[in-house]
Amino acid sequence: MKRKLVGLNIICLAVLLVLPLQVYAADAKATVEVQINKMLARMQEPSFKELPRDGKLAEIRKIINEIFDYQALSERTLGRDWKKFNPQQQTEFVDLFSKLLENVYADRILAYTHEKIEYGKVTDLRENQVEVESYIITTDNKKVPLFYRLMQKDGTWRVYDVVIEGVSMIKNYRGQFRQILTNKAPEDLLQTLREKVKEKPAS
Amino acid sequence: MKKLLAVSAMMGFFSIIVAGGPAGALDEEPGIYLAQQNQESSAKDDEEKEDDEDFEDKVTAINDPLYAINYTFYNINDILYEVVMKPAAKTYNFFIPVEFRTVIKNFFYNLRFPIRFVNCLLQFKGTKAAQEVGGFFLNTTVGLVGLGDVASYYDLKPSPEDLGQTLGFWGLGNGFYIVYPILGPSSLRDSARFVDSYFLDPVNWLKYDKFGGYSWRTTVAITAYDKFNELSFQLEDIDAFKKAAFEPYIGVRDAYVEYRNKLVDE
Repeated sequence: MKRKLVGLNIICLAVLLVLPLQVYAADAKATVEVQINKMLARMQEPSFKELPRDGKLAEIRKIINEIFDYQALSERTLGRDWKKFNPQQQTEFVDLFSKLLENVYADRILAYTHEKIEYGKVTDLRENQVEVESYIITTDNKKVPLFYRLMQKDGTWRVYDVVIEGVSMIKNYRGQFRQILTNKAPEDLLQTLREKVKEKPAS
Repeated sequence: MKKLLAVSAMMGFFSIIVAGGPAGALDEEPGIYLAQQNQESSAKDDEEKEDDEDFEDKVTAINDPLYAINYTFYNINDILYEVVMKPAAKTYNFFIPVEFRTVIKNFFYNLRFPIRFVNCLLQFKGTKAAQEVGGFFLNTTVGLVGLGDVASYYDLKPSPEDLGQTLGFWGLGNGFYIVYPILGPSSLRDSARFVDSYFLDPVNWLKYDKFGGYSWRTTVAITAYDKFNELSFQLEDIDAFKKAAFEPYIGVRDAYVEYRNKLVDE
């Protein structure tokens, strides 16, 4: 009896060890898919189409924000320069940078109405970090690879990087910020960000 | 007439640049790490690590000893884009429906099949070479001399190969970054595309007298139009990139290299 229980325990343990690996990959993909589909569905609704441009952008931003982890994204964008910012500056950076990205991407998403999206495979990057492949099928049938990198925090998956055609967003910004920070102080970078966020989005 | 051709040539070349540049980073040409190809995979691991725990990274993926000259050309190209190319392309888009522009784009893509095919062979990529042949055959016949793109529906449009990628495939690094006037971002290695164009681009064959006495101007004018037409699809991408960028020169350079690396990997 006892022996049997031990055996059962071992099986349970083995199952538990194997399971999470399967589950988490599926969950990351589901997180992206559900959210993107939610957004596309919302954009099809007549009530959305009647909204003024600003209203549309605000809604899209809200949906994007639900899956983005701007804290993780900002830390990784600045890389080692993150430590040059004091806690207050770090908070402001996260706030401004997220606003900038929201503006840029909400704008782009609004422009991409007729395209279809396909989902590809999920690759493990390391523990608790995966890459979910998606492809935007443009109207002239071109496939644009758009990969999301997600990490798991407290059981939920959040996006910390977007890789378009092989170009990582956070890496690209890191190079640019590094260039600025070689000659300038974090405060100057923040000032540049503030001005950039205030700019009106191009129509 | 001469002047007109020269202008259109310039426009064309410029759009190549731009294509390879801001949006092109997303759309067209490739580039490579200085590092050898066989170090790619380990480099990728390092990269992931930097993204993560240690927050360190290899700052740039490409040498840029010509920075001062490159930067100047980048700015000149950018002004050309804003002052000449963008307004011209916007006007063009206003009058020419997207369907027609797509047909033009398809036609030239199909026409340049020799470049992609030969470079598949040079890299012993049999499957891709076969896909290219299939796609070319299908689009030339069913697609009416390449005006339609039937191949895409049958997955016969693999990522395009060129000589820069072939050299990368065989282990050659980027060398260093180059911004050509009008033509835009490239690298020492990727400058091999001029060899591609010279020998394998059918548009370029026109200039030989045996094909009926066309001059190089015809080639340049046609190429210019093709590139201009391509640019007409990319205005929004380019503008979005510029709007989002802090140091556009650095952004374009790094994106160029990353994009080229991806193409070499494929």
